[in-house]
Amino acid sequence: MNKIDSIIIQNKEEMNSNINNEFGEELPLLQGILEPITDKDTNRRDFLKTLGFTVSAASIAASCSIPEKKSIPYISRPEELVPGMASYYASVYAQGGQYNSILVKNRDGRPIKIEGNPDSALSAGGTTALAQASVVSLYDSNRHQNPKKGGKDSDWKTVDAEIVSKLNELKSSNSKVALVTSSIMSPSTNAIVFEFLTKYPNVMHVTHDPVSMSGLITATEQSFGIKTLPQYRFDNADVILSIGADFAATWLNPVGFSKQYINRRKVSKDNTDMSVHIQVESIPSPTSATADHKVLVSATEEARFIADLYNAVTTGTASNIKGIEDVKNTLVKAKGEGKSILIVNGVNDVNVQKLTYALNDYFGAIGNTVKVGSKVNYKKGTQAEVDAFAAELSNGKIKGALFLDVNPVYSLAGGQELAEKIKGLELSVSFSDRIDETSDHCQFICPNNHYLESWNDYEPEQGIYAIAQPVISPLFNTRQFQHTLMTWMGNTASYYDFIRNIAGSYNAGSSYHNFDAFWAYTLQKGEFVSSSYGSGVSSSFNGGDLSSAIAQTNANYAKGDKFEIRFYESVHGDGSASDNPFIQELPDPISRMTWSNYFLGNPADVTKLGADAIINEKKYCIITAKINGKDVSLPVVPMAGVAAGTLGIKFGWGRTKTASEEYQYGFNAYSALPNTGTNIVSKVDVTSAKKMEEMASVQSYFTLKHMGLGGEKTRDLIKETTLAEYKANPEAGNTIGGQSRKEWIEHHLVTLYPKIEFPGHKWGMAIDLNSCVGCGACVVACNVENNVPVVGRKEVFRSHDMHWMRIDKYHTGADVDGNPDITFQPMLCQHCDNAPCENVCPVSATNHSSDGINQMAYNRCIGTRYCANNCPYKVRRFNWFDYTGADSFGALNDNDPLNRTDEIARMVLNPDVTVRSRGVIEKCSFCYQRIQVSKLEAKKENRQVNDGDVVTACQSACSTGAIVFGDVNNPDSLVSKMANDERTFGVVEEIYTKPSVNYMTKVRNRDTNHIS
Amino acid sequence: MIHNIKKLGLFLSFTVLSLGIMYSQDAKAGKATFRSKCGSCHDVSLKQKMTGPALEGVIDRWNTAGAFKGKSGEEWLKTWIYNWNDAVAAGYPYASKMKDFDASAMSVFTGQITESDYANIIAYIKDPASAAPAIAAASAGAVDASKIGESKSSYTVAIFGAFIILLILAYFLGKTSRSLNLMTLDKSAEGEYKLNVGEEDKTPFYSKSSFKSFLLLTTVLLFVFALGKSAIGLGRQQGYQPTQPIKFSHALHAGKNKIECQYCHFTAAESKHANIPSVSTCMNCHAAVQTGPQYGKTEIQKIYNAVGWDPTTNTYSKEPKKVEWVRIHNLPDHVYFNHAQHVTAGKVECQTCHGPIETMDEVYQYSPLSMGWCINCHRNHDVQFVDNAYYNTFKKFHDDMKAGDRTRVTVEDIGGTECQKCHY
Repeated sequence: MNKIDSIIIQNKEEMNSNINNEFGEELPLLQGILEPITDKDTNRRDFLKTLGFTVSAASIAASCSIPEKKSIPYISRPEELVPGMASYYASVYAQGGQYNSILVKNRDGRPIKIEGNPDSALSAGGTTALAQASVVSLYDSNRHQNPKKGGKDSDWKTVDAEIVSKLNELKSSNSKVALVTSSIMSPSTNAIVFEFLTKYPNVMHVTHDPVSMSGLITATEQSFGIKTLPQYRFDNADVILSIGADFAATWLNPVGFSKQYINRRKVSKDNTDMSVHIQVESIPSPTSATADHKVLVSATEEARFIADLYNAVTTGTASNIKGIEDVKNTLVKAKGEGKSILIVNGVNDVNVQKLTYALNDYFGAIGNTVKVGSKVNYKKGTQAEVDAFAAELSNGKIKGALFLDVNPVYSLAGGQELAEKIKGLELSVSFSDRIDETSDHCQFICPNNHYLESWNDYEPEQGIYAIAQPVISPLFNTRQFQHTLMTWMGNTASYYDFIRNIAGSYNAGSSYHNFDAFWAYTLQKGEFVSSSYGSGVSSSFNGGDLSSAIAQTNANYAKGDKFEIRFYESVHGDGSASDNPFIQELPDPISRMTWSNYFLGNPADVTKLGADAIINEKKYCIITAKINGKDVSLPVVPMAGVAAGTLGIKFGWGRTKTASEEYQYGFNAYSALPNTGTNIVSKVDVTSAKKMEEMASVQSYFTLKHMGLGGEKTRDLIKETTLAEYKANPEAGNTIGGQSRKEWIEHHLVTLYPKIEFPGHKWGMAIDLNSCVGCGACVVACNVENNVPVVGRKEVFRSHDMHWMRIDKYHTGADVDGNPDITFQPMLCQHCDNAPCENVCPVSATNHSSDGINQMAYNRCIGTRYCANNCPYKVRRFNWFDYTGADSFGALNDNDPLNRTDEIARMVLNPDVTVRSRGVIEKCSFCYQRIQVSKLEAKKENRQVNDGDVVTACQSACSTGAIVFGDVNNPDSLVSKMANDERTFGVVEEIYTKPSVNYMTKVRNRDTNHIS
Repeated sequence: MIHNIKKLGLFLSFTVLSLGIMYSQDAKAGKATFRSKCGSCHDVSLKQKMTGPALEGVIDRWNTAGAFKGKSGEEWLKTWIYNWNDAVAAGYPYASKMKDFDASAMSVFTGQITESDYANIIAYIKDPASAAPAIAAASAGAVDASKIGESKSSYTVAIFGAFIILLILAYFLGKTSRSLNLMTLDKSAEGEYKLNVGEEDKTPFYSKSSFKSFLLLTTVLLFVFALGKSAIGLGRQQGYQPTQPIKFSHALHAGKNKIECQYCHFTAAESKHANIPSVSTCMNCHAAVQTGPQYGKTEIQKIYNAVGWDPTTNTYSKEPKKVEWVRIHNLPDHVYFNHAQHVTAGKVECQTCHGPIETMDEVYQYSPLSMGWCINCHRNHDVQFVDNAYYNTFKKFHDDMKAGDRTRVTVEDIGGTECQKCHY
């Protein structure tokens, strides 16, 4: 237990025995070493032999001449490339329906980091955790390195010839072929697919989104006559009602939405204009952490909520769902006050979405906060298409299938049956660039390039045109899908020229004097926003008869007396990135679990099932739920904030075909989805398997209570207040021991030590708890930037996780065990001015710099771990193994199940940051490499460092601007202003650590009590 | 114990003296001194004629020239080396002849080199081969010793002198103490006192256990010292001079032709790395300069091969090939070094770290590139405090300077010796 959890001591005897047995855990490191030593008689001769070998080996190694290192310059250096300097190229990450306009950091020809593109109209500098981790998937030696035929490596010529002849054969026999793709955001790809369909009229195009928006798209089609998604404006909404939509972290366009949303959630003394956010949900989501009011309903109630609310608002009908009356009153009052309202709904059901539109229309949101009319292309797939494809594949009508960026064997409910059918097809081709369940059954694999190796264009929303450019030559013998399709059609032009042709139509009406200027500028900036964007025609709502929608909703989601299941997507995505270790090891923001999925359950329900967890030992009881006839067995994690009678299960786990078995933990939730595609299922039987499973969790306790001297106490790691109180007193909530923080500090903190002076810079950070939605992008960004190793499930279980940054989650509020308020707290090295870690280091490997940094000299560290022990924030990490291949003796790694010491995998390492070897402590350095770069730029330009020059990796990844970094000694810097704000506090600052990271009190826009 | 001190003293002084002799005429140290003091005009390998003559066999040549005014040729050479004007003024004929060897006159070294420097240089000139292995094998320990010999020699002499005086003192005190120990003052039955002088122990010193344990201890200590020293030297390669694929001479390009360092290594001003110029940079001149003064066309042809240039048709018509230079200056992975920081911001001359690069035919690693070496410079070197507006950040130091409390701001003052400035 090396987490900062406040541990409630339940059993005194157990505690005493633990105290007596401090190292109760076996030392597994010595397994395999101890036995030969202890089992046999070791005599003096053996000892001398070993000693002699060691000494001679060491002396041979030491006397070897230093290996020659070669330095190979360019024959002719590309003009923009300076060895040792990073260059940034605008590009696009668009996968699984997410769109991030990005800047790719290139060092010496290698992309090593993804940054948000601040010039983007949609993602505005933000990124998701998936986008941050995507650079890791480029350097993966488990990608297909050649085209394959029948599972064996082949060459493009053979594969092309055979596929084309087969396609022509199928065309002449007029046999149906399906081209199954994920939603295509690229206009050029669409054009190529269109050409392909024209040339092969027997081919049908099926769009399949694993986490589908079918309900919303179909509802839009039925109510507005246009088959697309709507545009939402969270920044225009004064009151936001979200029914199970996790819009700030996973839903639709989370980066853009969270940015808009948080813009109206940041408060200061001068600006207290804050939107009201009501979150109705059965399973806690990251979005609910920032909500002002949380209405806890069961999963079916979540679906029926909109129907009952519609009835209550329009006819005044009373509902038996708790909280409807309050929500109604809030909305009606807001409407009366002329405020704008936005209702979003995460239930994937056409009736539910129709009713949501109806209420949005009722409250005047259509055309204001909800705009329908322009094409919105994040997701396009509908359940009907997928059903038709599955049916025709099953009944043998489809003779051939091509799969692009989809994995239906994994992500469709009947995947296993489909797999058998795919095996029997006359032609089956996968364009997957890596091993997956579907390509495993295909005759041909024509591996697509990684997106960082490809040209492409994107139109995420009508009027926004973005270009993606390659930042590295293809690492393997792969070929871009578009190029492959063009080759099959006999088109010898390059895809680049194809894109440029298509781009011409976007230039029409722009103010550039010619196409080349348009192209060059868009390429450089990443995005072109047409003047018509956002002001497009807005269709009007025509819901027709809603009574059937209400009736169907009530019928489909009737409450039963059994368990209800809520399927949901987490920040880990839809499963396509499951073979990315950085994603696997990113803790779930809500459960704080890694490397697997599980059921989230209400604690009382879990006890009733007899499936209690042993939280201290990270052991969770497996339960079996019979969902749609499928037995789903997973450990259940009791979590406050889950509705009674509801179990949550997230998509994206339980893969069966990946490069390493380490990526296959958990259960595939797609396989249990009902054929309607809805994400809510009722009437599920659940039994406890009475079997425990060890889960790799990184935080077990979420309350702030702990046992102290004299009984239970509360430690104010986070501070909260309400908007009303904040308006009355900006220091509201910011207290220590009931006293105002400022006063307390003045009276309590005294020291014998001399005051430390920081003559130049004094680096510091401020984190606004109001803005953090817990999405985890900062965590992955930090990992990639700082060469932070991934350790794998087993090691995380043993609390050996290495993350320099983590996002702690705390439960507070009046109903802390039932419906708690959730607060995320990004936690990293606090760079304390009175750092407890520094005093205990016997070799002074960690000490303080004159610019306020708690420095860590890895090569001086001897691994006593005293510092980690003495750190009140538990942010110091110890390298138990040589995770990244830093040891000079090379391939002696004994713990590398994830292939991270592989030569290709190591290409992603940041050359400006030391790769740590085993046996040393590491921790956040405030991205010192970035500070050094900014200082040097300033010196070169003969100026001081400007505020905002230094941007840490976590800060740049954050889409909501929760993290601010800068020089506290500069009175004009934002961070120094924030340091002096009334909302500012330091975590456990009452022990006088003087942290350099300040947090801002969380302000919720409500009166003192819950809405219900 | 004390009565063994004499032998101990003898042993120690012998060791120390032999060490002292070793240091006083060290060819390896001589080569290093030669490099820094003479290397800008004389070829370090002693074979090539540069601004100054090739010095191989120079002592024989001067001796052959003969004695004059009671001084041998070699003695005249010494006079010449310290101040050549003296030798010419005295009228030594060979000196007058050598005066006109080159248009540029030799520097005056009086006060520039010490007696031991001189001895080392002569030792090196007499037997350059004895200094060679240290360079070729890049054995860090050996090179380090030579470095110590060069910079610390005057200290060493002083310390050895003091040590020897102390040893002599210890010897006499020991003798006195031993004699006193042998004496006893016995009181006879009559109450008279009588001074007794006991028998001296006749066991030879080498058979005594105390001597044996001393020998063992010394051996172990020396072994540990040597081990530690070579461990510290692991990975260091001062003097490293690998053979490069193209015999590019910095002495010719930077020294004689005075091409700016940053004409080729231009990224030193902006980037972490000082680039090895791409072959296309060479072609800026060598498209026209097709013959070199030392190797004629052979080495320049290698450039053409690399860049794919056909000198007969003056076209880039062939397949280019990479040039695999051997990297000389290597830092461990955990050290962050940035050229731009030193060159542009710090205004440090290239030669400060790379040595007299403009005299090197073949580049070798001049500095130890050890942490102590970095830190020493950071302690002593002033930053561009007044000239660069970046340093306005350090208001306190500016105030101190105005108030007269501070005259300079070194790299260390602004945190340049803190761990995380170079290790992160």
